[in-house]
Amino acid sequence: MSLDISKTGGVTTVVLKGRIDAAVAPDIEEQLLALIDSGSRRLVTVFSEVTFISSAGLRTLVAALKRAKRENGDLRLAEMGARVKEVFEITGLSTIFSIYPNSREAIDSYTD
Amino acid sequence: MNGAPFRLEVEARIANLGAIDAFIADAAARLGGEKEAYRFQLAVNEACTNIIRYAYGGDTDRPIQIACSRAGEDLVVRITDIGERFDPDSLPVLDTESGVLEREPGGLGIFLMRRMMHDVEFIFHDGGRNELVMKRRLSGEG
Repeated sequence: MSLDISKTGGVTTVVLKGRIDAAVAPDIEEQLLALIDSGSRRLVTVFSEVTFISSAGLRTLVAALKRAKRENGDLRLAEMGARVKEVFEITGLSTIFSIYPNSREAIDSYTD
Repeated sequence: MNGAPFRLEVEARIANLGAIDAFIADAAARLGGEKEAYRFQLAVNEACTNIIRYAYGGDTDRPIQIACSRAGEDLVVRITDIGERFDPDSLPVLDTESGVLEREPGGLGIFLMRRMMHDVEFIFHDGGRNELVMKRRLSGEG
């Protein structure tokens, strides 16, 4: 899966699309970890084009969050629709990620 | 609304999750469950991922059969495989407070299936056929 990746200041924004499931999660995880390992430690992941996220996708994001935090960075989430947000809430993951209504607020949160 | 079920048979491969997803989205919409189709898409995705990984032990040319039907107000999905029996009761009860990452393989998927559906039943038939029946009463709400 090709990810839309852009940089604003010191923050890297990654736009996810479609189903985030076992078919695409390994590839996404590899790309997110590579970004962090190459120095992009402040990340924002945008969900506006995600139809649903499965347990495999959740595990991928947590793996990336752990790697970013280990490098004194973070992985913050933005533009989550109600259906995706529900999955984060019922699994308890909404408490370990910082979630913002839009990508601008998520990016700006790094400079607050 | 009742009638003949919509059916799909695919080889049990992770690469086929996309075809399964398209089938469920279409069948749910045709059976009057368009607004809640994503709940079925997620539950079926988790179920088929577990079948591929744990019942079959990885990608294989062995089958996954899916049937979607309407039974009164319920939308019903039946998923059948002939892999190893996967007993969900062997998994520990999930506690969202205790860390989602420490869960057993497959456990988080079953947790999501049970939350997305109103009824989830595993039926192990003689002869090695495993059947998963998932139901959700359609509310008309998203």
